[in-house]
Amino acid sequence: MAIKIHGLTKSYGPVPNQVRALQNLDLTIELGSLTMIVGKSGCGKTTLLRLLAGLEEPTTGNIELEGLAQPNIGIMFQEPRLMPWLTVQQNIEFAKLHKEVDQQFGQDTQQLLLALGLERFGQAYPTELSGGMAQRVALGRILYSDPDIILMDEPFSALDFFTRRDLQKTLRQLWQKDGKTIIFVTHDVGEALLLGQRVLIMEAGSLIGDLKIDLAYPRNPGATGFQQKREDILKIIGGF
Amino acid sequence: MKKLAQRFLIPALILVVWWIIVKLQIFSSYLLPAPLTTWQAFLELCASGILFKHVTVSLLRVFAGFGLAVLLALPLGIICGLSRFFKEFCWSTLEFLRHVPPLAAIPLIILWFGIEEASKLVIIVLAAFFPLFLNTYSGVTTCDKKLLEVGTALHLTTWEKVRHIQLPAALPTIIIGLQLSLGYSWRALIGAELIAASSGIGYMILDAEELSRPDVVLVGVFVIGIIGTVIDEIFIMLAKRLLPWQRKAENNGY
Ligand SMILES: Nc1ncnc2c1ncn2[C@@H]1O[C@H](COP(=O)(O)OP(=O)(O)OP(=O)(O)O)[C@@H](O)[C@H]1O
Ligand SMILES: [Mg+2]
Repeated sequence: MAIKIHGLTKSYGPVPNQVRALQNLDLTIELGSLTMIVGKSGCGKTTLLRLLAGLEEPTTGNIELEGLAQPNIGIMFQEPRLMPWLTVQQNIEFAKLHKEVDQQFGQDTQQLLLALGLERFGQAYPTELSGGMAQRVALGRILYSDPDIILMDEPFSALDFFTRRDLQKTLRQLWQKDGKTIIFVTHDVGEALLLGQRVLIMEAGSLIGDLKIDLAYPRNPGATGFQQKREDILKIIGGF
Repeated sequence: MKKLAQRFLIPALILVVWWIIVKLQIFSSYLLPAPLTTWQAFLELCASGILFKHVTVSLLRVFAGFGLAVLLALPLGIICGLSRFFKEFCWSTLEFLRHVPPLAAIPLIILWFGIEEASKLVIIVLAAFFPLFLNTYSGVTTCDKKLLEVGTALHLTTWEKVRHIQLPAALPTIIIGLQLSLGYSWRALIGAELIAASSGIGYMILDAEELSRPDVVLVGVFVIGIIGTVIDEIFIMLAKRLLPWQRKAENNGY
């Protein structure tokens, strides 16, 4: 029961001056885990998520989803990407518009609105929301389709400290309750340590670090164990 | 109330200037009738039912022509926006037609379609087609790729993405196209009626000119302007119902 990535390579552009966004990546991610990916800008984090979501085709290599007959993968982008013409509730139920699967979505929108603290905004339009609320709606839209795997690309990086802390907590609780597989990209080492069971470190399209974080939740950034892990990760990323 | 005063300040000033010019007798009354004379002509035309008859004829023509233009331009704009093949297929022809002002084609149109209703419809369609077609096309093609990707990630089919992302995203642009088209229809029709017609507001103006009734000509011009404005206002009111998210955004000062 795992996501198995074998020799994954992704190149962009025409042959002479090609950009290699991912280089021969091998990786296994257990289902039900919460994995964080950190790395400098341009190291290929977004590319990896887009390949996992099926938004790009790999140049070489493959992704195997072991133990999932019909995997449902949801991706949350750095921006909320809400449909401006739909209300919050309609945006959350967007996946319903795909007729083939409408029967299998059992998620109750009211419950979702409640869980995300949006119960008073079901009928609001995206232009009436703050950035943090819009990102909650985007999370709701993913959760509505009840995916087995949730991919998140720096979803909270544009938010202020307090909103981000709230959403991190919401996400952790959802994960602890539902046991979904979450792969979360961030450039914030502190966020990675606050949430992740495992932290992957990427550089120039390759994996250069893989740490298991066995600290109990909720985590305290001031604790020595936390600080130690932070030192370890920064040492691997280097450049100081 | 303040807004209303603001809107009607300039028209009121023009009226006053008009009245003063007439009083000073700068122009002969055959060239510039007094405001009161014009108002009386208007009442006369209303009472005899002549104005109503011509306005009705013109309005029916505009709605028929505009409706026809919408039936042609909307689907064609959507299809060209969605399919490169189809776009390449029609583009050069449409581009050619776009650069021929309908007025330049009037002699031919009259020759082919006569001076009755058919030629009026053709002229309106020619005038109203392009603003709507081009706005629809650009609305469909400039759809935000990032929103389309949301559909792809949720496994929507191509048709579902068109129906639920591209078309709603294009709606505000399409509505601007409709508004422009409607305005163009009205103006083109009056032009056509001034050249060849036996009824309609344009014909009424031409007829009055021949009978040396400048007051009736002025009534015609005012009626054209006022009806054009009213049609536009009604259209905007209806359009706002179609775009509730934009109305809310305005209220919030976005
Ligand atoms: N569509 C594309 N066309 C060409 N090059 C691309 C494309 N997408 C990404 N790249 C290149 O691939 C490399 C990896 O990009 P990617 O977006 O995966 O980085 P990232 O780790 O997500 O960076 P960031 O932290 O800034 O989001 C970069 O060098 C980028 O320029
Ligand atoms: Mg990125």
